[in-house]
Amino acid sequence: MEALAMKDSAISQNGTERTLYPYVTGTSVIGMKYKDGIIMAADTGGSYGSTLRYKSLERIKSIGKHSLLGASGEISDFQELLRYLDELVLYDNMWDDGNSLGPKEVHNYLTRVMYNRRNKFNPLWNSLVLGGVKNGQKYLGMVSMIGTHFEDNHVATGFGNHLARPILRAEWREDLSFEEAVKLMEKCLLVLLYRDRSAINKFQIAKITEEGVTISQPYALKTHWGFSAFQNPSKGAEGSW
Amino acid sequence: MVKTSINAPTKGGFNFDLCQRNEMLLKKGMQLPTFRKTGTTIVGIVFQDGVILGADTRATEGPIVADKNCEKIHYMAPNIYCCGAGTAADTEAVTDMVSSQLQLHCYATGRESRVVTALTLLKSHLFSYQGHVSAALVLGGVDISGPHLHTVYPHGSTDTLPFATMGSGSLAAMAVFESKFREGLTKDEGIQLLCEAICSGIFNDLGSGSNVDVCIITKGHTEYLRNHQLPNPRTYVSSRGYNFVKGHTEVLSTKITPLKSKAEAALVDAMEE
Repeated sequence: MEALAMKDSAISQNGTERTLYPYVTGTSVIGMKYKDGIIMAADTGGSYGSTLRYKSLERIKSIGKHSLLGASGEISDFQELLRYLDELVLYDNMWDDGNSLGPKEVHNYLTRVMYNRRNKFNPLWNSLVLGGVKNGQKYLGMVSMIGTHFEDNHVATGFGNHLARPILRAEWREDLSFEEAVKLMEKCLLVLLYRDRSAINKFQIAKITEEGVTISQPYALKTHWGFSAFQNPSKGAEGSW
Repeated sequence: MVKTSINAPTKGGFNFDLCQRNEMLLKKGMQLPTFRKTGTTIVGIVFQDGVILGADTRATEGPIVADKNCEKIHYMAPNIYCCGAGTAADTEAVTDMVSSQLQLHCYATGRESRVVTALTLLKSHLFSYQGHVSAALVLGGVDISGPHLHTVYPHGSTDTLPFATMGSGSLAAMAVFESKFREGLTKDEGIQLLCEAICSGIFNDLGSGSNVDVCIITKGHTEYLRNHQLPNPRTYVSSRGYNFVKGHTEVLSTKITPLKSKAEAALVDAMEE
């Protein structure tokens, strides 16, 4: 027992602890702008190391009236962030001045929170995607766990950066309709499903427009496994592997 | 009298004679020389008439581009080609070695080489070096039993696939394949898809770049298209070049020195023959 306590210098005598590694993690989130607003997608899985512990986690939530937040990484830190944002939105509503927090403001708040936590060596282990529409202006940004933040037409976290962004860079256009955006999103989600080991076949797609937020019910994508090379891989070389 | 040594039969298994020496050298602080890696995108697909292989052409040495236009598609046999990612020296040496072994085998059997032969030679060589020969290969060819496409990993494992990507740009290229590949592509569709995948690697991965090489292997015929696409041409600020007309710069002073030197003929004796 003592040996374990000594091993982690973060667990000191006064009991202060800081996040060293994530435990329950969510995999990639993909977001992109389309004609009427922002569309965001994530699967509903939470992995505990290499086991799939939770299969119905909602990793995309709406914030205030104008924003959507999607998170990958440690789920408990995401839930903590939602509490902070709840308080933020509550105080904003209490002013009762007709103004409401837009996506740009929420993004800035999240950046400050993440960066300050990283400076204290106690990060919130998440990569966040923040999207929203206010007064006709579309906004899509990302914050990483060390406080790096930027805005773009399409963003992805985790494995999505390597697998989905090349597709989005080649095929995203300024004026995608909702159906086209969903098709493009599903293309990226399918590649992630095939090639990311922590992805599961249960996705939620969320959209936000000037009218409001819609988060779809979880659904599955069709996969294709019928390649002839998979049928008999050692054809022509019986006994090989 | 010199004592001649009898040729002892080779011992089987692994030879660990140098391990103690290597450990001692490392402890003394010896730095292993760095190697030139080919941070790469290499791909292969099976289409209706055969196999197409593709590669980018950038070779990197850490953060520096060592070779802007290197060749990553190596010849193995007239009907078998191999793309290599990883350490450039390892991929070159291993493919050259197996290529010559294949040719000898060809002469011995009197038949066209088979892809599985190349595969077995490669994997047994790489396995015996336990991953220290850092060569990740995409091997493709068409032989008497049809078109074949395999990937070979540095530790010696292999896969048989309808489409394959390796190297640092493999995820970007695989994203293109997973979304667009179907069985039974025609040659033009196959080349189009392949170029798209390599370009995805070139533009989204820092370890890959420059041009696209393509190699199409069908029954009885191979086409090696070096630099099939050049999506990164050299650009110049001015397309007409630079032309400095007299009068653009103020001349402060002019001095003209004739280049004819005044040689003084000295009266010396003729040289000895």
